[in-house]
Amino acid sequence: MDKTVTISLNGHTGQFRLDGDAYDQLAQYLERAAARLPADSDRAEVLGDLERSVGDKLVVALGAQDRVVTAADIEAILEEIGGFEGDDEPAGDLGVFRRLRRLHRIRAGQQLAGVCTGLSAYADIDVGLVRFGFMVVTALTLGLVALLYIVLAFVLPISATADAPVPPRSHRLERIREGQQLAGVCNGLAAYSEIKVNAVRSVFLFATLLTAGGFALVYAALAFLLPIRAARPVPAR
Amino acid sequence: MQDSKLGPLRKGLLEFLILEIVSAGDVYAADILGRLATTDFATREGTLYPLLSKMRGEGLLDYDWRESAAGPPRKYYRLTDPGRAQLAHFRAYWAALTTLIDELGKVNHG
Repeated sequence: MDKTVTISLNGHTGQFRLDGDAYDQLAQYLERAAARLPADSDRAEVLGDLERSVGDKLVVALGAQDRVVTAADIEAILEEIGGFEGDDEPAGDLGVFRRLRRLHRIRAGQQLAGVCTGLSAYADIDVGLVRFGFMVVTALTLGLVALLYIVLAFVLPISATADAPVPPRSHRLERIREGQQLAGVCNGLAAYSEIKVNAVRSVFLFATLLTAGGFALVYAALAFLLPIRAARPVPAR
Repeated sequence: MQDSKLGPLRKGLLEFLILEIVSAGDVYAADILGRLATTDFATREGTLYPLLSKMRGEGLLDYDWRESAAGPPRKYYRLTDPGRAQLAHFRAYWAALTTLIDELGKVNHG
């Protein structure tokens, strides 16, 4: 066996170990689902439902066995869940093109949020150069470009490596009570963007200090606007 | 009759059967699949989840998270007021339709 990938699935507190083929198959299925789902449905929510369902079925399939999930396991489960409308139509080349050129953050080799590793893979420029460029431009603009970094960190989805498909976001932005310091805003942002919560808190603190307290208004606004997550397990990442 | 002719009809009716099932009380996705499994309307999650999401988007139903003994919390669905209204409207329409079909049949064969 070449490699195993440890993943967590929406809603499940436990983690699953998949072999490489099983992981690829699941990732491809979810990607196809994202492409096929009609625009009038809440795509992220449906993907979350599907992910949770795969988890439910894996728990049943594995029972008490502690073993690696194989492609055969995944195949049986996906067959049970069934395909999507439009699956019979040829996908065309567009999907491949989009997948190659989509900008996303990359966890492998990340220093902060994986933005530079992502930009490096996207533009095919050495990551050291990208980081250096970021620092120079940040210094030249007296810190303004750091804001761009922060925005990208929150906006871009993250994947494990440059080649790994980007798993669609399965959760929505909401406040999270577990481990909260104030209103759970930083906690929620951290879970949503998969950035460490202390990094998010630092950003809020710095921004608040730099703006002489003005940025605290953003926090207050988010605290009022974001719903608090209903009692359910925080997906472990 | 050719089954292919009934396909689109079935597809259109599925949404109303789901309204009907959800109206019976709090159900989660597996309940809905189970109720339909032995019927002509057997369906799978790949079809059901997008449909439930669309219906929720249209305000026909909503859900609550509830803990389950086995595994992660589940979404329990219930009808909203517009959902109940749509179901009532559909039932009335369906009753009128079967009456019409019966009457037309009587004229021809009775």
